[in-house]
Parts: sequence; C-alpha cells; structure tokens
Amino acid sequence: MPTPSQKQNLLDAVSQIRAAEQLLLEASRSTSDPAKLIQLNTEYTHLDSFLSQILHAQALTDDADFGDATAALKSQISALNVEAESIKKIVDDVATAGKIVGFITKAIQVVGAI
Amino acid sequence: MTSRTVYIAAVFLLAGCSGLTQMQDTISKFDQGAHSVATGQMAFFRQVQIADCNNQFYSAAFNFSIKQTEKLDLTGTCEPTILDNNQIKTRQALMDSLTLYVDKVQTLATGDSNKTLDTNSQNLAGQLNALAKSHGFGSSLSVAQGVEAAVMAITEMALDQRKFNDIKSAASSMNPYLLKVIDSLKAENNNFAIGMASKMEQIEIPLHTAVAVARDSAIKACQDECDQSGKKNGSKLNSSECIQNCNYSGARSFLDVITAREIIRSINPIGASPVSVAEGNADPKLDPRNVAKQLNASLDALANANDALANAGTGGVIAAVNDLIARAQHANNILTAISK
Repeated sequence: MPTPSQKQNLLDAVSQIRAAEQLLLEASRSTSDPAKLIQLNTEYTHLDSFLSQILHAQALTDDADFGDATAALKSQISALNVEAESIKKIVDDVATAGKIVGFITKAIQVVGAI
Repeated sequence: MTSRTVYIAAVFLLAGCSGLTQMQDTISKFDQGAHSVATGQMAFFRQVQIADCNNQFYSAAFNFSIKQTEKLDLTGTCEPTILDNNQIKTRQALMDSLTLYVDKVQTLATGDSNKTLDTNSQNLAGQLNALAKSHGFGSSLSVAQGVEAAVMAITEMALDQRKFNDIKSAASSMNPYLLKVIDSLKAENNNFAIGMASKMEQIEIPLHTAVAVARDSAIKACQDECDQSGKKNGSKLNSSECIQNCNYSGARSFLDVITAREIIRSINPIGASPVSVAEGNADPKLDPRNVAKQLNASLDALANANDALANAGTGGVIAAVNDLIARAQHANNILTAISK
C-alpha cells in the first residue's frame, strides 16, 4: 500500500495527466480531419491507460503488488516522453501543444520520484 | 403516597420514557442513514467499473472500424483496469463492517436484555474478522494496518468480544476506527471520479471522427457521381455548381451527429444529461466529481453522527443524525438514478 508521500505523488500525476487529456479533447473539437482525430484519439487512449494504471496502483493494499505497479508505471516514462513529442506534431495550436507537453512532463517527474 | 407525589412521579416517568423513545428513534435513523451511505458507496464503485468497461468496448469497436485490429468482442465482457473485482470485494467488506457497527449500536439502544446481532450478521462479522486477521485488507504498511485494526475492532464489538455498557462508550471507543475506514474511502472517491470522467469523455473523439468521415464520404460519393455523369453525357458539368450541390449531401450526416450526441448522453452511468445546456448550468448530480463530493459529505456526516453519539448531548446527536439522513438521501438518489 502506498505511503502518504507516494500517494501524494500519485495524486499529482493523476491531476497532470487529466489536465493533458482535457486539452487534447479541446484540440479535437477544432478539426474534422479524420486522420488528425484518429491521432488525437490514440494519444488520449495512451494517457487514459496510464491514468487508469495510476488509479489502480493507489487503490492497492499489498506492498508487493504496489511495488510491481509503480515499477510498471516508471517503465513507461520513456514511452510518455515519446507521446509528448508526438503531441507537439499533432496538435496544431502551438500554445496548447506546449501546455499538454508541460502537464505530461510534470507527470513524468512525479512518477519518477515515487 | 399523596396524589401530588404520584402525579410528580408519573411526570418524571413519562419524561424518562419519552426521552428513551426519542433516543431509540434517533439511533434507528443513525442505522438507516449509515446503511444508505454504504449502499450509495458500493453503487458508486460499481459505476466506476461500468464506465471503465463501456470505454473499453467503445475503444475496441472504434479500433475495429478503422482496421487497427480485426478483433471484435460483441459480448461486452471486460477486464476492469481501475477497480478489479477483488478490490470491489475489499470495499464491500469495509462497508459491511460499518453497517455491522451501526446495527450493533442499534441493539445497544433497545430495551431488550439480549443485545446480540442476528445469526447472519454474526456470521458476517466472523468472516470479516477472519479476513482482517489474515491481512485480507492489506499488508505491513501503517495505513493498511489501521484499516485492518478498524475492521477487527468493529467486528469484535459486533461479536460481543468487546462489550460496552452503553452507546456513548461504544461510540467513543469505536470512533478512531470508524474514522480510519471513512478516511480511506473518501480519498478513493475523489480519485475514482477522475477516472470515470476520463473514461466517459474519451468517446467524444471517436464519435467526432465517425461523423466527420460520414459527412465527407457522402459528399465525395456525390462528387464522384457528378464526374461519372459528366463523362457519360460527354460534357463537363459546371464543377462549382456540382460541388455546391454535393455539399448538401453532407446533410445525411446530420442524423449521425444526433446519434453521436445521444451516445455521449447515454454513456454516463450516473444518468443522461440534456441534449444541450448553458455553460455552467450542467446538472452537478451527473458529474462524477460532484457525486464523489456528495458521497464524501455523507461519509463525513456518518463520522460526525458517531462523534456526537460519543460526546454530545441528545440535541447534538439528533442534529448530527438528521444531517446524516439528509446526506444519505443524496446517496440514495444516486442509487435510484443509476437503477433506472
């Protein structure tokens, strides 16, 4: 089960990922290009999957299970960095893209610190 | 004994009787309120799973439709990713321990000499006690130990292994344990609400994609017809006129847009929102985060009611229990909406 500081890190990561998702959703509303929408959906799906794993981890009560879950989260940090780079190319509005990448970067930092 | 003495004795006796009845009534409401909170809480956990599973189905369906996979399971079964079935069972056990406690308090409030719970409740208490002792709620870290200790204490009280002479001492002794369970539930409600919102909102992008493709396909098909027709007649149609007319073909996708909106409205396991609503006026009852807030408020009310039982006078207890009933009613309303 997570310690209080681990729980706080997980909660912070949840907030950052959720904020990134919401901006991706907003970005999707300003285009009807199917190719772009599919790319945005793919990015949202990846972030949502990561979010679900964080929530699952913070609800675990067993030390061993929690250790495995956080190790799995940390192993995805490099993939998240790749997501961030993809999002810069997919989201047309540079400012929005920057904000999304910022949220993902912060999430990576707090997960890395668990 | 003079008639005046008899009269005074009768007044005190009646006052004492009405006070006991009022407390019994209040404890009965405490019991009802706690059960309502428990029912609403479990319904919320199940809705987290439903939102998760709905999202998985729609994601798989979309991936199939854009040929990212040839796999498609139309049975609707899923493996939850946020709250699995074992985690749901653990939380059911926590809620059962809370309701066992309030049921036991109610027996203490009766005038009966036999204050044991019924057989089913005792069996449940025994199972929960065994689960806590075998670390079924967690492992070695301090917070998990707190929840385990809480369940052990509550179930020992339910099994009369810890005896209390009155409600005040029982409530006082159990208060820290109750708070442990309630605090862990509250933290989770907020987190799971975020998870639900994420799952529910994702469907918008695939639906947007589908209606965009439907519209563009209809227009393209029309333009192709124009080209074919022009070739057959051996003459070129005025292309701008053709394009203008073909844009109207996109009107076929209007019904797709309406359907997409209906899907988004229906995907919320808590309830369907109106087709359209002014910004800032969305029904808070349909927002998972507000639902979590209401559930947490009802959990706080349960903690406050128990604290009042431990420390307050009759007036304070009545006020706290009335607040619990009101907040638990919100939880019941959620359950009613979900069941429809």
